[in-house]
Amino acid sequence: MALVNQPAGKLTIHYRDASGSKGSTDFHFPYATLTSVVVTAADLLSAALNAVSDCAIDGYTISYTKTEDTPAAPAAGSRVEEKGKFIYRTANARTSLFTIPAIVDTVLEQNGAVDLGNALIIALNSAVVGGDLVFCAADGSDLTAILDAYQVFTRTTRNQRP
Amino acid sequence: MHAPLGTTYEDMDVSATALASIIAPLTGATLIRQRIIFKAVTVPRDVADIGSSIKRRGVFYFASDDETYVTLVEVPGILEDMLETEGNGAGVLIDLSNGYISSLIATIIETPITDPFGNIMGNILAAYRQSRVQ
Repeated sequence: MALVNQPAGKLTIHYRDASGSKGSTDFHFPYATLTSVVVTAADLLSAALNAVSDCAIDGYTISYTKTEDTPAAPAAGSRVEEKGKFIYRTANARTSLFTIPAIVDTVLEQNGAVDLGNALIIALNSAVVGGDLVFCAADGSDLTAILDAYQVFTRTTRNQRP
Repeated sequence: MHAPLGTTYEDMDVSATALASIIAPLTGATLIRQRIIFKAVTVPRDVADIGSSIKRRGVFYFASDDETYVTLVEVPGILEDMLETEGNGAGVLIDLSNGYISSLIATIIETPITDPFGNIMGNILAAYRQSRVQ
C-alpha cells in the first residue's frame, strides 16, 4: 500500500476566447522533471502558443499526481459529504480553512463541534500551526491558531450517490 | 492545502505525506490520490481577439521517434493565418512551414513532452484544424 507517482506530470495552458469561454492545451512531461524546468518550458510554450492562437492565455498549471496502488477499504457507513471543517487564523489577521471528508464521530462533541481537546485533533493542530509542514493560507500567510472546527454536511452530488 | 510561493515539490510532497498520516485516523474515508499543483496567472489579463473561439482548434499529432506512441496537442483558437492556403488541404491542414508553427513544434519537441505514459515524443506526424460542436 503506497502512493505511486503517475508516469508523467501534466502542464495545462489555460485560454479564454472573445465570448469568455475557457479552453486548454495539455502537455505531459517526465514525472522526475524539476518544477523549475517545467516553469521555464511553460513560459516558452505559452509564448509560442500565443503566436498561433487568437485566444488570450490566462496562465498555466503544473500538476504532479500520485495514486494509491492498493487503497484501504473505507470504514463502513463513511460518507465524504460529512466533513470536519477547520478554520484557522492567519498571520495577516484573516482566516483560512480546510475540510476533512468523512470525519470520524469519535472526535466530535454532541453538538457537532470538533473536540479540540482530543489527542488526534491536538496532533493535527500542532502539525498545521507549529510543525514542520509547509502549508499556509491561499495568500501565503502563515496559519497561526485554530479559530473554530465543526462538523458540516454538504449536498450529495451525482457521483457520490451509492 | 496551500504552500508558500517558492516551495519545492519535494518539500510539499514530504508535508503532504506527513499530513496524510495525521489525517488518516480522523476520517472514515480512504486516501486514493495526492496532487501537487503549481499555478501561474497572466497579469494583467490579455484581451482575446474579436471573433476568437476556443471551438476552432489546431490539432497536432506527435509521435515517439519509432512512431510506436502517439499523443495529441490541441491549440484552441488557432489563427486562420496558420492554415495552408493552397492544395487539397487548404483551409484545413496547418502549414508546418509557417515560422510560428515550426517554432511552436520545435519548442514542444525540445521541452520534451511525453504522452501520458511518459514516452518521449520526438516528431510531428500531422496537424490540422478541427472544429468542435458549434
